[in-house]
Amino acid sequence: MERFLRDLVRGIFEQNALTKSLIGLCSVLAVSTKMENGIMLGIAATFVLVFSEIIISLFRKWIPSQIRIPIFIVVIASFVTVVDLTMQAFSPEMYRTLGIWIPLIVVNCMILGRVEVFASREPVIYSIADALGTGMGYTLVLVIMGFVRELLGTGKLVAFGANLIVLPPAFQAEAPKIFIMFPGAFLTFAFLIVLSNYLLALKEKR
Amino acid sequence: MKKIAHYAALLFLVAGFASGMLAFTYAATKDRIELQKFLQQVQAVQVAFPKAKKTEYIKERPDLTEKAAAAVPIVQKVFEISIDGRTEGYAFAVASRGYGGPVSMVVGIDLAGAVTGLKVSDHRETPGLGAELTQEPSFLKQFVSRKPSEPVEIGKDIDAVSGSTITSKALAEGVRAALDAFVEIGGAR
Repeated sequence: MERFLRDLVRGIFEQNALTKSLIGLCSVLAVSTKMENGIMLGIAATFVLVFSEIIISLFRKWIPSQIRIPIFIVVIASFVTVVDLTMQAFSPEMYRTLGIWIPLIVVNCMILGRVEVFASREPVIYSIADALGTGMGYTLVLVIMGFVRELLGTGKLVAFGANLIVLPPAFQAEAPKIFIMFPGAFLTFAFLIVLSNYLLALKEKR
Repeated sequence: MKKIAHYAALLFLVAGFASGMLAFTYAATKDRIELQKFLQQVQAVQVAFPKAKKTEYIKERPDLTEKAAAAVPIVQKVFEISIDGRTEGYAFAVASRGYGGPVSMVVGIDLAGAVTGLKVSDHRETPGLGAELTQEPSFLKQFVSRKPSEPVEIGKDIDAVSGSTITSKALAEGVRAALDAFVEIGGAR
């Protein structure tokens, strides 16, 4: 149990795929213009991660190392397609917003990376912890980025049809639009890395 | 040699299982996806042509689509709106080129040739800039009541929105195409 928790938390903070390993960035930079998008893509990626890691971990003893990559990719791609079709059927609005980024989860190196480094070597139970942790870490970064970018860039925060935060109209009119454009993604992300490194360094000192 | 055969068999097995899973998901979601696509279109037509309150008022006309698309290639579908057997107008699904990719919209035109409304159904424009424009009433209002004889062009009779010039252009092009298509299918007045 202790190890389960350790594997879970590691993926969220110390070894966050995005702020620490800097992998799987493209989707985060592109999609984090709205917080709502971040939540949905985060859930989709976490789903794919958890099921891919379970399957790979279950069969890890029978997967020869010479052909492991094609097998990993087939497994990941299948789960992504399941998510893709399900989303099209039940959440078409969201599917239209996320568009190409759902099928592109297949080539998210974060997922292949965790499968290769973790699930292909460790027992199922810890693989689930690793997948959940990595997925939550990914979602957390997406949500923070989306929160900052949407709020600063448009002056309001809208999620699932509800206005969560509305800044005064004076700010909305002059909102720094750069935050919802590409440079804003890099800026926000850079500050997030600084913050994450600072907090981790503080923790180390203690 | 034996190893290669073993690997091939294994990969075959994995791919087989994956296909099975995908076939199952596809079959389970197929009908719903079709339904969603249809509903999305109907809803767009209802916004663009407010008189078409009921779904059964809206009929797809593949023959008119063919005719219109031959002259105006960006026209994708033509719907006829008829209430109790009387044709009230047409709705055109068109896709013009925007900033981030195609901008799909539905334009409603009544029998007199006047635009009744416009609804953007799908786009990849920049959130906060072009994306806002696609649902900005004060911008979309400009297109209502336009007729085929008017230019419907940015800089002439349509004002672009600064920061979203390309999206403004895409929308104007879409409405222009719908008007041209309307003339093409014989609705000119």
